[in-house]
Amino acid sequence: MNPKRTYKIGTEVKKWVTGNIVMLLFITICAIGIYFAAQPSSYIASEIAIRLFRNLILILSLIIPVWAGMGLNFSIVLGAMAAQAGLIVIMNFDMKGIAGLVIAFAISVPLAAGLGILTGKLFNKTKGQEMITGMILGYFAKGVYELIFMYLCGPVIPMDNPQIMLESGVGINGIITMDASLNGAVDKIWKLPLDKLLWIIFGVLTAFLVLRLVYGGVKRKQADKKCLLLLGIDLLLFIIFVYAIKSLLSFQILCMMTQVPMVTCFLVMIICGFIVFLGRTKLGSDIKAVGQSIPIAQAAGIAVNKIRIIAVVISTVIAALGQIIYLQNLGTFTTYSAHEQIGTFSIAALLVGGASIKKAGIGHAILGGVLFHLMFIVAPIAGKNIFNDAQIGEYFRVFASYAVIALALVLHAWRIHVEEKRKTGALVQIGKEAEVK
Amino acid sequence: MKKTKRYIQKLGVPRLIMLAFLMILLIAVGILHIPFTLTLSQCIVRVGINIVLALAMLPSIRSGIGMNFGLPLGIICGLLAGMISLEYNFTGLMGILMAMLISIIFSIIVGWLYGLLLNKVKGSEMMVGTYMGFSIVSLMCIAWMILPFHNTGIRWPMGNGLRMTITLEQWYDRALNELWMFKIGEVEIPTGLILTCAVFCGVMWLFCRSRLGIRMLAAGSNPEFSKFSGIDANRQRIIGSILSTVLGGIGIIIYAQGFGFYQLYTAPLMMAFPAVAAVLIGGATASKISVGNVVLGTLIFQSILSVAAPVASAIFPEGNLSEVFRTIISNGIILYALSKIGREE
Repeated sequence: MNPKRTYKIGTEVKKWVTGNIVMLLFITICAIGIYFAAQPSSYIASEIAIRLFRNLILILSLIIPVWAGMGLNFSIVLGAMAAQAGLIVIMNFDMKGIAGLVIAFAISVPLAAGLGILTGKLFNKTKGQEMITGMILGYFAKGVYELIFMYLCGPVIPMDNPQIMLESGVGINGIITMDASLNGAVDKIWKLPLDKLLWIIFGVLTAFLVLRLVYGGVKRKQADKKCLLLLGIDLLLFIIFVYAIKSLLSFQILCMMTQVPMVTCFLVMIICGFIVFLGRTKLGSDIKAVGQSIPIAQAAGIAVNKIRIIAVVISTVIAALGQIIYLQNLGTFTTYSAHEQIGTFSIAALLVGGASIKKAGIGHAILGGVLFHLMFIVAPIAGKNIFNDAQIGEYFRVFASYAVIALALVLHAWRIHVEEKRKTGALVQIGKEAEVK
Repeated sequence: MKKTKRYIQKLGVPRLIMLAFLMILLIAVGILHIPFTLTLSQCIVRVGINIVLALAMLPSIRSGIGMNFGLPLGIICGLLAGMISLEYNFTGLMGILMAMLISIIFSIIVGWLYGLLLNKVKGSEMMVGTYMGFSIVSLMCIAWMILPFHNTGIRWPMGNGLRMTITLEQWYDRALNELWMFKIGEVEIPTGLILTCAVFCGVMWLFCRSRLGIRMLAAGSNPEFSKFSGIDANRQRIIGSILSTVLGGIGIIIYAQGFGFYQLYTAPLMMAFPAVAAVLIGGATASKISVGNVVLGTLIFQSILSVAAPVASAIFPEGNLSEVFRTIISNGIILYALSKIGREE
């Protein structure tokens, strides 16, 4: 074997490990949790399916500001508040069902966009410190939100629906319960068990790959190797799936228990599609250019401040949609705290999926969503089985969410620090060489 | 005219808004017939118990770290030391002194490690500090449940771990406040508390004028330049972080004795923000601060809060309007300060 080559592989592996250390740590924690919690796999899978689709849009809303170099957008909390305002309005007018939710979203879009513009303007004044600004802005907005819905609704803003108002007529109830028509309205439209969904996915995927192979073969008169490989993997997975569904009882139960909300799934796919599409447009490449380097983008004639505001607006609006999907799934929400942890948990989930302050994609969001919720499901029971106290598991999962963010922040800042040192070191070296000459 | 304009500029717009707000609240106190003397007594105590926590911002800002959002690290040290002092049943002033001494030991270690970390993440201190604080507070939630404390007074009567809030009646409830306390009319003057605060402020004032303090200021305001005068900026930042953590630990003990109880678990999570807000209201910025800023800021901020509480509950008996005001004011002023950082550079 060539020693040079193994060395290269070694450094590649090391680079990958250091780049994905947050994810690897988290997988370890999840594995320990699953082992000690010893819950049935069908329960875990069905819970993940529910939670993943409930939260995925919120996690996806974080991606574009990362492209724009603004880091993790803690101010998606404002989008969540806009969504809650929309829901409160439709419930005040007794609107029902899916139409009600659509109107709630329609109300929250201009609200979220307006808040997004203000946020973007503030971020433009605090370049380099967007994350802390976003976080403090979230707390500030919480105060304003409480002022509006706890004290101004009733005396100043005319609202009198006894279903959501407090008895005194001042302020909205602390807990809002949606009626049967709103509760899960989007999810209820069409649900499919996992096995049927997998049949469809395998069918579509195989058809797509075969078509592409045939099309490529006809056009270029040679087989597309990458496509062939993918088709092989696809067929292999399909055979495993068919074997599992026919002969493994636990897998059959898992598939039956896991009901996938198809409409929510489509919405997620639309948002993913939008993000991919945006990445290929002029706007998307401008956003990424701004994220790479503001001075260079400016020199290239990009309106940096405007692009940054657009990125925040998109993020806030997607977050508003995400929060509506999240709350309709839950069916009830605490008026004054449902938005509080949205930022922290979504960000932690994205980071767990392998994203960083500088890099984020759809794959990170999905993988992170699965891993993060896996930890949330197993932690209390694992805590109970290890320490004899479920509370410890609950504290642990909060700790893990904060620690993941802290670790990602430290690693990012550390990397910049090291790079800068290397740069100045190189400069000093050049200076010395020049002196010698 | 010119003089007043210059005076206003010196005072700054945010402070004027805060003072105007305080005036309105005081007028409301008059109109609503709220007992003024009681409010004043509470106000004095609130300023006293919060001032050392706000003072913790001084060494961190002067050494160049900026606003110390990692203050919960110091607070945790103070709480742990407090628990140890309760475990061994130290009472009265002795208890407070013991708690402070133990907390200093913890704080020096934690502050040193925190300083080392902050030196590696220059430029992101605020965010890293915030999330380090959050992580450690939530990790300590687990620790409070499993640490081997045995005193039945501080443990849950049933179940695992320490209590959520621990009333200090048996130990040192308001021991500093009641030391040499006297009354002017109906207003209680907590002499011991005021003296303690004065001592800490005085020590920090002297520190700012000492050789070390000046070196720290030089390193904080211009690390590149100070290198040529033989000052190690990283070392100064570590000293700043240690001092800040020590003051945070002592601050929470003074706060707890004046409040009457220790609050464990998630209580310290958000405690950095009011301290940061107070010094900013007092005229500090992300890179400039003096003892005067700390005292003035705590005075204005805590006065607003203690006057707002009875006014708010007189207007809206239900709910907690003053808490909403606190959230808006403290985060609003931090946002204002953040928006100024870029302009300063």
